[in-house]
Amino acid sequence: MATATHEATLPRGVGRLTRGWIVFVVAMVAISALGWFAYVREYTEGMTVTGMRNVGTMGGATWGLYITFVVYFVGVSFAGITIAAVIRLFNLQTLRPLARMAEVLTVVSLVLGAIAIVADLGQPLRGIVNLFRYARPQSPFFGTFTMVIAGYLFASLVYLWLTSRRDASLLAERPSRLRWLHRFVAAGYTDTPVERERHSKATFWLAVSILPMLVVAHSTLGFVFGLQVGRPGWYSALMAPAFVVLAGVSGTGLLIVLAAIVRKTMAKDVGLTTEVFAWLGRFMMFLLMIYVYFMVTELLTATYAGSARELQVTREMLWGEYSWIFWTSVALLVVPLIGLGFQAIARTWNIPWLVVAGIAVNLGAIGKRYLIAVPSQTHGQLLPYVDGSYAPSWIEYAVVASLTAFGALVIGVFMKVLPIVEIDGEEEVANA
Amino acid sequence: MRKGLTIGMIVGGIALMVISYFGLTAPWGAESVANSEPRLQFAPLVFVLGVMMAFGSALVYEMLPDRDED
Repeated sequence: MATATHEATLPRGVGRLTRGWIVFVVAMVAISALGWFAYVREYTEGMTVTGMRNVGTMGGATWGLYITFVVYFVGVSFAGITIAAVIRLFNLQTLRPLARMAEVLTVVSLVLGAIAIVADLGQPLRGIVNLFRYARPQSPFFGTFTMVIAGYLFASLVYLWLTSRRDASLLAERPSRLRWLHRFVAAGYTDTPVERERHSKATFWLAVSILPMLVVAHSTLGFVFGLQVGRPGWYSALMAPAFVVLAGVSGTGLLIVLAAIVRKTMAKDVGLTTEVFAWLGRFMMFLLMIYVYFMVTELLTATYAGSARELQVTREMLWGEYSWIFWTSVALLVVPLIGLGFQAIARTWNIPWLVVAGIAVNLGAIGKRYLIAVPSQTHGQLLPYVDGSYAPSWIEYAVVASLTAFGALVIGVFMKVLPIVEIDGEEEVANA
Repeated sequence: MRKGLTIGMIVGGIALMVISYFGLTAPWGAESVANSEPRLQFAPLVFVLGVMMAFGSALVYEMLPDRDED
């Protein structure tokens, strides 16, 4: 059931509200509302409604599920903009259908990461104002909020807007209820050779400057943990590079899932061929191999030559309280790696299997992010406190679920407002 | 005009970043309380504005018409 208006003639399903899409939106809005209700309770009643407690004195963890998802969401953004920038820098035409959705994924996941930080702050306004007021440049947090949240998000938004102008101008030529919006996004773009040349130069240099910035930005987030010498389990030179690599794994996995959904929902062939998925599969496999290598190296170092507290944190992860999360996460990363390896050797790529692998590595990445944040706080005290524990409350689960739902909702709405896959040419609008 | 403004924004943005990072925020070190006190309050905001100015130059480059196009 699609609305039988001018929107039916817009390409890529823009403006067409199907029954399935409406059900999806209602479900996502409902989950988002539940999370909002949970957050209002947290804001009014205080952080005591969460499972987080002071480290040491209260035997808890002050960074829990929210920080796990901050790191996860920011990580997802990494692969999105990297792939989008690489496609434009090296003019990889086969992968071009991925570019827009990779850009959208980046912007949405960065916004979710920023909201997750706000949810983690008992007094969000105080936190936000004071960061802008007092942040010290030698603190990794300075880099995290200036480079990741402000610079990286702003640069990604500029990039997304500039790369969307051409499609918006093509859509604005057709009568529809969204014409005003398409005209606004197009911002006077008319697709002349001069404008195309200018656009090509602007996006090239943007891509060139975004790529190094995002490596710095993601490393900074890794340094938030990796530079804390007094926290066994965190202090490691591998923390920053491992952050970047696992970020690439989770982002590529999510991009595979999104590309498969778009391929399934689009009535026409939009260029999301098996070759595109094979490229993503190979890229994810390569990153997974590096990450598994980092993981083994880290574990060997900690168990072979680690201090007593370092050993205890590792023991808790391998055989103690957190072992089920650790081994499940390892399985969720290693099994897809083996599967991808078999597909790469056989040179046959199965899209449903890649989607399963994409979901699995994301669940594995969330588990690994949790293991980075929590065990060091509950079992890594250098002061003589007894070991603690942490279990997220329903409030935290609801907020995190609502953030995920909100992200899915934004992407779903974007797909109905602008093409999630770039339009090939003017004729496509005319013939749609 | 368009190119000049673009280059100006990039240079200005980078200058804001460098000046705020090295000259306006709290000085590096851990020796005294002064290392926690920004030399100018909201200096990190100036750094963020510098980042945004530098990347915003892409908007100016692409969207501002040349004088001869008018």
